Amino acid sequence: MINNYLKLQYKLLTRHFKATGLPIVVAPLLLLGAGYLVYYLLLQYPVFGSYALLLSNFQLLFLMTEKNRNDFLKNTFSKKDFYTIRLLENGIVILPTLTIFIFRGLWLYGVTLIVLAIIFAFLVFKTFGKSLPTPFAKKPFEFIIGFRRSYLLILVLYMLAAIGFYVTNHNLVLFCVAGITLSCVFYYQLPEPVLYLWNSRETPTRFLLGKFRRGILQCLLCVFPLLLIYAVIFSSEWFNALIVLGGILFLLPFAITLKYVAYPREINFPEGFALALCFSFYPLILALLPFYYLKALKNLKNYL
Amino acid sequence: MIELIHISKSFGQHQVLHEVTFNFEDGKVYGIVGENGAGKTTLFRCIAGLETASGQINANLEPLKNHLGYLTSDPYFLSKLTGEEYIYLLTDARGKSIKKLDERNIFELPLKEYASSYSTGMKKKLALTATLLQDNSFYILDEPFNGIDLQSSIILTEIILRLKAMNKTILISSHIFSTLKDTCDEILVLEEGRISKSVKKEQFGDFEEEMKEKILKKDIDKLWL
Repeated sequence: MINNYLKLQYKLLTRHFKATGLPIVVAPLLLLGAGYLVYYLLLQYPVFGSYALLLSNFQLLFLMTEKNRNDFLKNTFSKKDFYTIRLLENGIVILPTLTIFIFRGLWLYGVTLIVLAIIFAFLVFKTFGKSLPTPFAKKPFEFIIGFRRSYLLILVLYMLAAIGFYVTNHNLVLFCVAGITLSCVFYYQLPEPVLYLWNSRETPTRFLLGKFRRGILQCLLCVFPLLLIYAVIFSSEWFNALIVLGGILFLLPFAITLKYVAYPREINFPEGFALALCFSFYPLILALLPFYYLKALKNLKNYL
Repeated sequence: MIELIHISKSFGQHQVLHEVTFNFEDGKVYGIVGENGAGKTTLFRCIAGLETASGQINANLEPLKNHLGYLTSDPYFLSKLTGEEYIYLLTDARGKSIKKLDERNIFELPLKEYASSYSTGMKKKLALTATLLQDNSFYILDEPFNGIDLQSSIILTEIILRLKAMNKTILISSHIFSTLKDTCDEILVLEEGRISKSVKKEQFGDFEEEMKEKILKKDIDKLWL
């Protein structure tokens, strides 16, 4: 039974991959390439690279505790099979990172990851009351949904930032701010149904600019308290806070633009590659943003 | 007013709509009936601009889509979005600011709960509430009575009549003839992508009898009853 379930999951994964238009044989190569990149990142930034890896696995494990999905598994399988499946799933999810940690001899991170995988296999996160209240009021939906999917990660990042302030480690605080900003960028992976977009009466330009404005405001709402305390406590380093703020001003609109370039499908390899390029060399955003912005406008004309 | 002139639509080799021509007047309620696959939803999607079609669609308010409320037969809700947030999302998209939402929650929906967890009927009522609060001039209601309870059905009938009184144009598709009889001024029969018949209110009784006779003769005779 478990075997069949895992085979089915594998089938679903391969279908998702095939939907990108790439042949399935490329998948192991991409995985190896990504693994090498992450390994290289760890060589460059051993401490914050390890934190980033650990936290991204934390978020993935958290997403897998989603209630409806776990309810389905509980209803379908016996209790023993359910926990076996959850442990196996979490094990598969952390395996690539765990391998890298072992290669780099980062044993403490490896053990932490295993412990997290085991704990998350036994957890199901229910909503607070009927739904999780968010600080994002009524608009736009990406932030509301994204926040509900990543609130635990945001909480952990806030706690890490608090530790950073306490031990006066300004890099740790900036790492947390960057982490929260990146989470916000990932909120825009999700394409809305065509009918949602159809409802808008805005022109493509106004629609996109409105999204930028709201996205930046809401992202700032998430990071502004940290940046403000940062500027007060590490007053000599205020320029760093300004750089991060500047980063947000371009990164978020870029992510939104990519979403509507790809729309109605999800952001895929071409857009993901552009985003990855900009992460490796940030000023590239300034060159790519106008190009993709025009592409997004052209695409939006089909729906607005 | 919405004017359809020679609207045709094909999906590959399969032609779904054939030269549909009709004039939907202001302040009137139109019922669209037809068998499954007759082209009702495709016609609605073409009017809404969600499908490209050959022919011409004119309206006295342009662009039509900005003045049109479209309730689909199977509304889709993103996960982790509450009923209240869904309403705000749709009304905000039309530049409408909604105050005192709780008072306007006539179907008594649990708006603080995630919409994706609603029952089929509740989902329909939520989508309908959001569409109505957009305050449009034209409405397309695709199977609005499907899955909703008797009380809500009565409320919906009253809402449609009030919209009509407000000079709005409403297009409804339904398989429940009694609901169409209560609300519509005219019923259009769609057969294989063509408007085969247009029935005025005073002819509804005869039309119902005719339909019954035709359908029963065609289908029930095949059973052993």
